[in-house]
Amino acid sequence: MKRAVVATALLLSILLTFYPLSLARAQSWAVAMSTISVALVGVSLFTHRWPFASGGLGLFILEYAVALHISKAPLDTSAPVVGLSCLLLIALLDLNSLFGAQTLIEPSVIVRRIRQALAGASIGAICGLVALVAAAGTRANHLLLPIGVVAGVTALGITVTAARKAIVGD
Amino acid sequence: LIKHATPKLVCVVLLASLALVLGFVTGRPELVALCACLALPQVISLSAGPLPEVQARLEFDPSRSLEGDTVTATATLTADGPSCEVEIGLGLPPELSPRGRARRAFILPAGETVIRKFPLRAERWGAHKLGPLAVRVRHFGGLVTGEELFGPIARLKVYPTFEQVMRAIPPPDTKSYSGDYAARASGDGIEFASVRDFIRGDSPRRINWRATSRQGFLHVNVAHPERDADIVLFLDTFYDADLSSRSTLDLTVRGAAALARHHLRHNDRVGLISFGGTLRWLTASMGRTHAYRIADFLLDVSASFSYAWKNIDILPQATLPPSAFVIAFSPLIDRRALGAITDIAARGFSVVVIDTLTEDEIAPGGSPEETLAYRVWRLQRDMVRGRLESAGVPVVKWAGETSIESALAQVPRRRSTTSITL
Repeated sequence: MKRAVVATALLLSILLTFYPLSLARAQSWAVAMSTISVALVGVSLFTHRWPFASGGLGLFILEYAVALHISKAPLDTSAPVVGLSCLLLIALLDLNSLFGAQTLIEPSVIVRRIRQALAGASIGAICGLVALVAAAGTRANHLLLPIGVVAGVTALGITVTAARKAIVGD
Repeated sequence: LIKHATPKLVCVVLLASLALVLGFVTGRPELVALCACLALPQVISLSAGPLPEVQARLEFDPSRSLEGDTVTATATLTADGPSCEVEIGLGLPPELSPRGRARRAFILPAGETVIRKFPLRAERWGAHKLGPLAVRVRHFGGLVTGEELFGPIARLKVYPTFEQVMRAIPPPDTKSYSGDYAARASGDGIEFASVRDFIRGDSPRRINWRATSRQGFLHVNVAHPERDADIVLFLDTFYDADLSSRSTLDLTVRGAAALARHHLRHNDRVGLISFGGTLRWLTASMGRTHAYRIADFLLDVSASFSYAWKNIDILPQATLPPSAFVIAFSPLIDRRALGAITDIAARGFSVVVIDTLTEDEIAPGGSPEETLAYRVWRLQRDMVRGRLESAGVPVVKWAGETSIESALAQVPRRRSTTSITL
C-alpha cells in the first residue's frame, strides 16, 4: 500500500509540476523548477517531512504563475484541474506520513481518507471552476480589482479563522 | 484534548496565500481560482462539528506473568461525538516488547466502544509500568488533531524464571525447630553421629547390639537431630554492572529467587536485605505467603546510587536473627557493601559471598594504559576476595553461565553438617 501511495504521488507530482512547461514552451528555467519541485516532493515522500512538500508545491505555484504571465494565453481553463491535482497530492502526502510512523493502519482508515480526499478535491475543483469563471468574467474591468483583493483576503481570513476556531475553540 | 494544527493545514494555507498573492501580482485569474480551490474545501472541513471527546483506559490481562510469557494490554476507547480517525500509541518500557506494532490507526465510530489488544512479551522480570496510552484524534479532514495521554498507568508484575536448586549450601548453624538439616548437636534424629554408653532414660530402640555384644555392656547410637535454619539473603544493590550478556543485578535477583525458593521448600525461615542506595528488608519467615512476599520484594529490587555512607548498624535487629546463615550476592564493587559483609561475619554470622561480576566479561581496552588499568583492577578484586576469605567469608564466582547450584558446590564445607535432599 505504501509503495502504491508513493508511486501515485510521484507520478502526480511529475504530471503537475511539468504542466507549466506546456505554457512556458519548455524553457530551461521552467524545466529546472519542475525538476526541483519533483525532487522536493520526492524527498518529502521518503522522509515524511512536510516542509519539503510545502517547498516543492510552493515552487510549482511560482513556476505556474511565471509561466502564465509569460505565455500571454487568454485563460488557462485547466486551473481547476491543477488545483484538484494539488489537493490530491497533498492528500497522498498526508496518507504517506501515516505510513512513516510504524503504525498499524486498519483498512477502514485508508478507505475513509481516500473518500475524504476525493470529496475535498471535487469540492475544490468546483470552487476553483466557479472562481475562475467569475474572475474571467470581470477581468476586463480594472475597477473590480480592489474588490477581488478584498474577496481573496476575506476567503483566506475565513480559512484561518475557521482553523483557529477548530483548534482553540470559541 | 490538546489541539494542534497539522502540517497539512499549514501547507494548504501557505500555498493558498502564495497563489492569491501571485494572482494579484500577475493579474491572472487562474491563480485566484487555484487559491479558491485550495482554501474553500478546508473551510468546509473546518466547519464540521467539534472535535469528539475520547475516553480511553488501559489494562493488562493477566496483571502478573513470568518472563517470556505473553500478556495482552487492552485499550478501550469511547468517542463522545462524531465518528473520527484515531491513532493510539502504547508507552512501553524496554522490558516489554510488542508482538506486532505498538501503534494503531483506526476509525472510532460515534458513541461506540472500541477495544484494541496489544500482545506483549515480558522480556525481563520486574514491576513494569505500562503506559500512558497516547491518543491522537484526527478531525476536520486531517487539518486538526487532538492529542491526550491517558492514565492511570497499568502495572504488570513479571516474575523471574529461575533454576530449581536441588542442593544448596547446608547452613552451618541450625535452629531449635525440626527441619531438614542435620544439626551439629547430638540428639534424636536419623543421621548417625556416634556410639556412647547407655544411660538411664535412653530408648531401647537406640541400643547398638553389635557394640553391646562386643563390649559386654549396653551401648546406644547417637544421631544428629534434623533442624531448620534461618537464611538471610543479602543483596548488594549499590551498583548494577550491566555487562554484555547480563547485569549483575539480574544475576542477583535470579540467584536470590532460586535460593529463597529452595530454602522455603526445606521449611527454613528466609529473610532478605537489599543493601544499596535504598535500604529494604524482609524479616525471616516461612510459608507460602512469605514466598509471595519475597517474589514481590525481588521485583522492586533496583540499583540506586547514593553518596551516603552505610553500615550494618542501620539494619534493624530482626533482619539478622541469631545464628542465621547469610548468603550475600555482590559484584564486590562498593566498599560500603564489602564493609557490611565483613561486619556481619565479624559478628559471628556464617557468611558466603557469591560474586556476580566476572572480570572476563569486561574488555581490557586496546591501549597499554587501559591494559595496565585492567590488570590493576583485577588485582584489586583478587585482593578484595582475599581479604574476605581471610575474614572467614568464602567467595564463589557465579557468572550465570552455569547453575547456581554448581557455583555453591565450590563453597568449602567448613563444618561436618549434612543436609537431607528431599
